[in-house]
Amino acid sequence: MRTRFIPPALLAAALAAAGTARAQGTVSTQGFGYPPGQISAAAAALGGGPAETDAQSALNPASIAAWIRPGIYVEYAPEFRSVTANGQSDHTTTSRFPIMSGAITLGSRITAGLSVSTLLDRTWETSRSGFDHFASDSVQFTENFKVSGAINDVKPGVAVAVFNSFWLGVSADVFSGDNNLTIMRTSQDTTVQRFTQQARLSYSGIGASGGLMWQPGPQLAVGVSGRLGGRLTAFRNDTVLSRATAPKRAGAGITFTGLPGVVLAFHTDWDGWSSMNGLGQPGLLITNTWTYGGGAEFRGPVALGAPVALRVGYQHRGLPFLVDASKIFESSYSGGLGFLLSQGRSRVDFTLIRSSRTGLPGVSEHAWTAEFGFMVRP
Amino acid sequence: MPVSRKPGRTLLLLGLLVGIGTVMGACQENLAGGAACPALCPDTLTVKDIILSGTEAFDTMTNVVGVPPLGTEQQLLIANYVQGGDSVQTAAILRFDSLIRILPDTDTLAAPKPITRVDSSGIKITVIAPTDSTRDTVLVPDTVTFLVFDVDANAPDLDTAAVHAQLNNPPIASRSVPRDSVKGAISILLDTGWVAEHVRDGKRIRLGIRIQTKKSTQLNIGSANGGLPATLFYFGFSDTSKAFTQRNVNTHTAGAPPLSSLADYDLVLKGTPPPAPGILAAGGIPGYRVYMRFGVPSALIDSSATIVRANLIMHQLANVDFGTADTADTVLLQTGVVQASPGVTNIAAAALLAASPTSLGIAGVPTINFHPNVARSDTIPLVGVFSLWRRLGPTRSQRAIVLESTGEGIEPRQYLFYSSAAADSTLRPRIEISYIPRSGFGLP
Repeated sequence: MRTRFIPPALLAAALAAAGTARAQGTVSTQGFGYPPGQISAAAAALGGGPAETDAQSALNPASIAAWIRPGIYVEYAPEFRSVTANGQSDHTTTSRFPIMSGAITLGSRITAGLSVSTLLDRTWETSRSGFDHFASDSVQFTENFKVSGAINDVKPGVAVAVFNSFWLGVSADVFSGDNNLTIMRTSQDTTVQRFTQQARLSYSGIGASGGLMWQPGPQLAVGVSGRLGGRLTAFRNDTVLSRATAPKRAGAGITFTGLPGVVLAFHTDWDGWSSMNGLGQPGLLITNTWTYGGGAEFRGPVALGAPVALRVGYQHRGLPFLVDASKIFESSYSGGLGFLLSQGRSRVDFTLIRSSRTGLPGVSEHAWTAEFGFMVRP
Repeated sequence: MPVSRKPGRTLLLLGLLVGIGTVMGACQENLAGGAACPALCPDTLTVKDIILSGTEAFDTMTNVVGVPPLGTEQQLLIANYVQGGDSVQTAAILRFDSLIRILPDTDTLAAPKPITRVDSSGIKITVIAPTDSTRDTVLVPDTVTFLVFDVDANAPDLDTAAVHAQLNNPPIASRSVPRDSVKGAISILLDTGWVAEHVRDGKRIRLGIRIQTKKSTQLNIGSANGGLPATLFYFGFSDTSKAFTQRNVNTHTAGAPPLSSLADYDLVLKGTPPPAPGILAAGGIPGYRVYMRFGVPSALIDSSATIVRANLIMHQLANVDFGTADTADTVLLQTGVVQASPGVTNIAAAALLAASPTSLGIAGVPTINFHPNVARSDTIPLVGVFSLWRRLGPTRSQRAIVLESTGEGIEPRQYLFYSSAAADSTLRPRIEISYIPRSGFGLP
C-alpha cells in the first residue's frame, strides 16, 4: 500500500504567491515589497487555512507528499487596486504570475518537489508633479518612479512518509531576484531636459525549511513548518550593497473533513521579517508579523463530471514594512471555485480576494485580486 | 444522493465569464499611482541649483567682428539707404588681377599675339532677387545708378581702408537702370581706352561698385563664392585677330596662403557703429558675433551629475540705431555651437566653426526675436548644448557658443549685451544650472 497523504476532497493544492505591483504610493508595497504569501489559489480562497497541508503551496515541505502523483501547477493573479488619499484615488492593475510548483514521486515513500514563488514583490510605479523653484523662476515637473521585480524563493524539497500518517519534509530556500528601477523626471518646459536614471539591484540568499504533516485520523490533518534564514545579500552590479538575514518563519495549520461535504481549515503563521533589517537603508522600518486565517470548502453541484468546490475564507495579517512608524495590516475576504478535470487529474481554481490594507491615517487601500490556478497531473 | 447538474453548469459558466473578464481587464498593466504622494512616495531625486558668473562661468567672452569674413560672402550687398535715421552704404569690390592680354593667331602655328586694342568693354554683374519677392519694390523702389570706381590701391590685400579711400574719387563709369530692370544680369560699359591701357600694360583692374539712388535702396549681386561671379568683358584686337573675351573676378594675393576669396568682397562704407568697450555685440553691418567659451567646472559637466537645466542669462542694452520696433521678425538672435577643437586658439576662426544646435540634434535652443531696441534680460536655454559637451568630453570640442544675428552682415540692427566687465554685477552674463547628482537609489 502506498503511503500518501490524501488531501481533503477537492481541496485544491495550488500555491500562489500573489506577486504584486503596487506603487510605493501605497501602503502595501513599502520597503522591499509586498509578501504575496506563497500559497495557492485554492488555499487562498480558504483564507490560507489549508496552506500547511496544501501540496501546491510553498510553505511546508512535508506537504509535497500531497501531490500523490507527479504534476505541475501555475498561477496567474492580477490585482486591481485602489488607493485613496487626500480626496484623490489611484486605480491600478497589475498582472502577476506568483507561483509555479511541481513534484515527482521517487518510490512509494518519497516525493520530490520544486516551487518558485514570490517572497516579496516590489513592482510599483509612482507619478507625481511639482515645481522646481529657481530664483524667481519656477518650473513644473513630473517625476515617474518605476520599480519592477521581486525577491523570489526557489525551493527544492523532498517529503518522506515516515509512517502511514506522518510525513516529514525538508527543502532548501534559495532567494534570488532583482529589482529594476527607473526614475524619470520630465517637464513641459523646453528649457528643462528630461532626466532618466536606471538601476538594477540583485538579491541572493539562502535558507532552509522543514516541516511535518500528521494525519491523526481520517478526518483531520495537521501541518507544522518553519524556515531558517541564511545570509541575504543585495548587490548593485557586482558590488555588495548590504547584507542581512533572510526572514525566519513558523506556521501551523489544521484541516478538518469530519462534516459531510465540508472542509474546514485554519492556519497561523509568524514571519520574522525584522531579520532583514540592515538590508535596506537605515531608516527602513521592518517588523515581524502574524497571520491568521481560515475558511471552508463545500461540495457544490456537479460540473464537467465532478463536484464543484465552493470556497470562502478570511485572513488577517500584518505587513512587514512600516510607513512612518505605523504598522500596516491587511484583512482579506475570499471566495472561490474549484473544478476538477480529467477524472480528477487536473484542476482549475478561481479565487477572488477582497483586501483592505489599513494602518496609515488618511490613506485607504483596497484591492481585488483574482487568482487562477491550473494544476495538471498526467 | 441525486445531484443536480444545472447549478454546476451555471457555476462553470459564471466562473468562465468572470475569468475571461478578469483576464481581459488585466491584460494591460496600469501601474502608475501617486495619489498618496508625498506621504508614501520616496523623495529620491534632489535637484541642486548653482549660479555661475564671471570667470567661474566663462573663460573667454569677446566680440568677433567681420562676419562673414572678407571675401566669403555668398552675395555682395550694395546698399545706400537710411533706416531709422541712420544710413547704410556698402560697395562691392571686384578684382580682375588677371586679364586676357593675348589672342591666338589665325595661323595656328604662329605664336599668340598681344591685344593692342579693345572695344565694347564692360563688367557684368548679376542682381539677385530677394527671397521674399514682395520686398523687391521695397528694397529697390526707384531707378538705380550704378557707379564704378577704380579702387586699385598700392596697399596690402586686407587693407580695406586704402580701398575705401579710392571710392571717394570720381567714378570711371556709371549706368542708370530703371527699377523694373534691376534684376538679372546688368552690364556696365567701361571706357575702352582705360581698359585697353590696363590690358596692354599688364596692369590689373580692381573696381568698386556703389549705387546712387533717390530713395533708400539695397540689392545683392552674385559673388564668386555664391557661384555668380561678376565678369569683365571686351573685344580684343591683335594685329591679326579679334575675339570677344570675358574673365570672372580673380585675384593674386601676396604671401601665402593665397586668398582667392578676395576676388570679390563687400566693403562697408557706412554701417553699424562698433560697440562701446565692454559691450558684446551680435549682428550689424559689418557683422559681429559674441564668442563665449565656458569655464563651467568639469565636476558639473563631466561627472555623474546630470545637468537638467542650463540657462544663459544675458542683459541686453536698448539699441535704437537703425530703426524702432522690429515687426517683421527680421533680426533674430540665434545660438551657434562652436565645433572647433580646443586646439583652435584663433577665436575668430573658432567663431566661424559654429553649427546650429538643430543641425547637431539639439532641441530647445530657440532662435528668438529679443528685439534689439529693448533693454531686457534674455534667457538662452543651453541644457542641450551642455549635454552634447558631456557626450563629447572635454578634448573633442571647445565648450563655446556664439551669439549671432540672423541679419549678420546684411541688417544694420545689432544686439548689444553687457559683458562680464559691466560695473553692475547684476548685469553681467551668468549661467544658471540645475543638476541632479547621481543617487545610489534603489535600496528602500
